[in-house]
Amino acid sequence: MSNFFFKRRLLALLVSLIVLVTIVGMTVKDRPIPTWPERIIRDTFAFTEGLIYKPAVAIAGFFESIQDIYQVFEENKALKQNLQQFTQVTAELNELKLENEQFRKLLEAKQSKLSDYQLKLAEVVARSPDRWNHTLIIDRGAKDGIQPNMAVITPEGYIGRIQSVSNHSAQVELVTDIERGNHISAIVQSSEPVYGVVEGYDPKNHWLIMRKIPLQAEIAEKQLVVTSGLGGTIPRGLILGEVVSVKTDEQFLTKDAYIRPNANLNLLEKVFVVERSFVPPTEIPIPNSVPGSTTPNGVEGELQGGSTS
Amino acid sequence: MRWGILIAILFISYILEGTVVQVFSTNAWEGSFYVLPRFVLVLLVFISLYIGRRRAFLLGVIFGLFFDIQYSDVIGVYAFSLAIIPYLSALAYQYFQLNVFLIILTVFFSVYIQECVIFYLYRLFGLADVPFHWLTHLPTAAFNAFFAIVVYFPLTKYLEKWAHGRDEEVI
Repeated sequence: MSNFFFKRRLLALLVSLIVLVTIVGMTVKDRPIPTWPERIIRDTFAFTEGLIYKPAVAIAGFFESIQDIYQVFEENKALKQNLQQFTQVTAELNELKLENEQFRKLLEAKQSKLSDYQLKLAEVVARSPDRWNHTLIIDRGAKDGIQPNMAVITPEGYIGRIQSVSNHSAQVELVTDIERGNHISAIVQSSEPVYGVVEGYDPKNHWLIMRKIPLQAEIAEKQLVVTSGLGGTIPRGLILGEVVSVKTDEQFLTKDAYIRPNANLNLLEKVFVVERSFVPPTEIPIPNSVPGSTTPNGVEGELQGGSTS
Repeated sequence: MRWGILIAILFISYILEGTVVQVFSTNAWEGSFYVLPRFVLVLLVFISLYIGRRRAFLLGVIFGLFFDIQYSDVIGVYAFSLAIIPYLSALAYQYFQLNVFLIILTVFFSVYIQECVIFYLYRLFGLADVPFHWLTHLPTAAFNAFFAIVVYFPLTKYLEKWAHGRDEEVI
């Protein structure tokens, strides 16, 4: 008798394994807009979790500020000095801006659209409890104009991108989960801009890894790394972090730079979703290779249109 | 009514995992070791031991689906592990008398095994690239065993009221 039950149990285990593999296989691809039952579940939980997360953050912030009281005096001194510097820097910045505009007028160059963006405030309502999904849930969704792949920042810098969108909530994939194809085109602000791709994360030191930097590029520690705005929905000029160390990669063809992220990913309360004003076309029209058909002219026109915009 | 209260407790602990615990474990994302809350799993092991493993299995599937849907794009990993592990832990103990020590030990091993199962499933589907070390999940298991000690007396008192459901299922 017990043998029979043992067999049935084994069968159940095997069947559930097969079901698991099929369901995972069906859902493993990137799905920016999930199916409606998922959206309902996500929105409902996002709402209830929002009610709890905010007071919890407030209490945690209270304890943190008690700790801070002891350092206020020192910090105040340093901040005052910084403030004096800040006024000077703003004056310089304004002057440079004016100058820049004048030069642009002289050259008749258009304003670069790459760095234009609007910010949308969103509040964090939950965070994945495990270590394999670096996910945040925010309380804004498709009804608030949020779309997949938008950048998410805090005032300190870039923290991630929108992974999938429900009606009233959205999932944010943090920058620490970068291995899964969420690569960012970035610039090191050296004496001249050095381009590369941030495409890895070093979980031991909590550094981002920027690859495909030209071998002859001169980059040093403490230089800032910002997004380049080339391709995708991420605008130019969002701060990623600063260079910590530079290495030649294994094949001695390019350099790898290790970047300490500027944004603090520990206690996130309010984030900004970046809506880019200029979104480049996601699909590049491919010219039809069949000769003699009527399409080539049309495709050529499209290509030209794409390159001039 | 009894089930309503139990499911409400499960919902609350599910929500706490994603919100309050994440706020208060602030350095958890950058420290050298980390502690993850697995309250739902702990409660499911209790339910499986005291009420019946099949009901725990069903609840595990439902709450696992919530985890999958909310926190990851891939559906199935949590539903599988949260269903199977409480079920198997009840099987392991159907010939023993339940006591505190055995239950805490079960919780400890269940949490540890769940961490491993989830990691290997994610790695199987190419979603986790982090190297695995067996020490990494011991703090998590210890923390959740501690949580089990805290909830042991109120929870078992509550569950023993309808514990005869367990006898029916013992083969």
